[in-house]
Amino acid sequence: MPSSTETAPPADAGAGGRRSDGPWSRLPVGLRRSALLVALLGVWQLYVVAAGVSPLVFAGPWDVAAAFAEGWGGGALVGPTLTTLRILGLGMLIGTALAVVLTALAVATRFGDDLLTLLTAMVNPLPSVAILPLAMLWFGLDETVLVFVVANAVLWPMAVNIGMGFRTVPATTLMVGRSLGLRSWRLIRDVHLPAALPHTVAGVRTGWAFGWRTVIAAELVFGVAGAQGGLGFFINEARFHLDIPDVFAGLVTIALIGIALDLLFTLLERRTVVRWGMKEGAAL
Amino acid sequence: MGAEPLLSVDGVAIGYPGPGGRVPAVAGADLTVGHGETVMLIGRSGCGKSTVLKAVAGFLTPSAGRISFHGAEVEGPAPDRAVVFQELDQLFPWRTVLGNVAYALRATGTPRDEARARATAQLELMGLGHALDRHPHQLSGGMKQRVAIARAFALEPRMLLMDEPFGALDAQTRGRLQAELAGLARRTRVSILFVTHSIDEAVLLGDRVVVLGGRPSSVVETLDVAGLDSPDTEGFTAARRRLRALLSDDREEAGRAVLD
Repeated sequence: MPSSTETAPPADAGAGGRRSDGPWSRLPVGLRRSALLVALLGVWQLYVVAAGVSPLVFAGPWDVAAAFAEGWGGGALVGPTLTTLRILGLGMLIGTALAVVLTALAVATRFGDDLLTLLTAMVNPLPSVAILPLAMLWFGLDETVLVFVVANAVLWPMAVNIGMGFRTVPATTLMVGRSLGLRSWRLIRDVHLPAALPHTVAGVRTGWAFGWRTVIAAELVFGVAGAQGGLGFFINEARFHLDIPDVFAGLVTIALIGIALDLLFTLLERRTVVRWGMKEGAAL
Repeated sequence: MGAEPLLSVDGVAIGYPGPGGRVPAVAGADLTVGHGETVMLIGRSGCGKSTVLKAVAGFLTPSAGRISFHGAEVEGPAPDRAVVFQELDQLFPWRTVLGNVAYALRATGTPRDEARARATAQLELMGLGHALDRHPHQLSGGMKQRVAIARAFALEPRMLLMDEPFGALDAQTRGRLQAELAGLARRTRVSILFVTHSIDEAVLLGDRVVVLGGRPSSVVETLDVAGLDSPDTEGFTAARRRLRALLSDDREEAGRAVLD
């Protein structure tokens, strides 16, 4: 690595010229990151081969890739993934709907505002997975439990964000809506909701991340319900059978879905609030 | 005008909630706007001229007096009094230029296809035919205000309420839009209540100019400026001189009030 006294190339001078590691900076970003990935995988594989760790506690990238391909090809990973995604989607749908209703109520009435403020302050700091034991008591060993904790995880960060969006609608925008004769629900639907969209999208991003962590954690604890367990259950099962490459394959699947969903939301953001100039400098 | 005026504001007082009770902003506003008339409301900044306009629009409720419009007391905002604001964010950013105007028509009960057609026609009339599919953030300040004016006219309101719509524009754009507005007003015979702090704008666009002054404010004088639309004529200069005197009196008074 060259010494840090070398001047930073202009391309990366954005960070105040603080980074200066020479030729490395001059490579295109895609190449830099791929090279790093390959290097990390190399170190991983080398460690497994050289250190001779027990295959009952650790797996090399090659075995993981094989398990991953086998899991997706043979279908062992397909079912759990769909189950988890279905629970996440259902939970998010319910959580989002409740968040919109609660926030609309908070905008329309003083009582709703107080209620939302209090509930958010009380429930939001509580990790949703912590209420899993209670939920199991209430709903029995049913998939409803998982949907419930995911909806709860998604609801509060979304309500906070949508509420912020509703409260910061420009006064002029609201007056325009009111002077067109819009009242109550139509004003909320046609003015508040779209005007709050930048905050709502931010809320969905936070919300889904909370929901995703919660559903995996809950599945680890909860085990299987009904016909098919989810990804959390898959990992736990694989560990039980000491099938370590499968554990890793499950983890890789979880990470990849996380990346894919995050990309999806970035795309959604670019097609809406960025295109409408409602969010500054959101280029990727 | 003879017949009943379209808008009459009688002894209207409006206050804002402040620390230690309501702070009176307007003490006694009296003015009328006749059918097809353009009345300019002028005063120094902070004199409450926008407050009066917001009360006429129905956004504020007067603490005393009465506002009657088209034979009925004003009870809230309604599309028969279309409002054009100074702020450049009065267009919905999530709708295109065409969408903004067409939505206003749809919201007031026009069927979808007719709304699109009428909105397109109005925008083309105002030279915005090339920008129908753009979003507001892609427009210049002057174009944004032009779209807002097109939206207001498309609604075919009985009255247009304009709250310093050209206040945030550069002089050249302002002049062009003033001329366009005067033309549209002449053609459509719409009634206008127009708030401004520019003396030239008041004399140029108005049939009458209502001067608001004092603190809390009331109507100081009403000046007839109908037909004065060329800044070089003697009438224009005289009206300008008179308004300048009235507004600077108010400045001295306000200065004394601060010293007290």
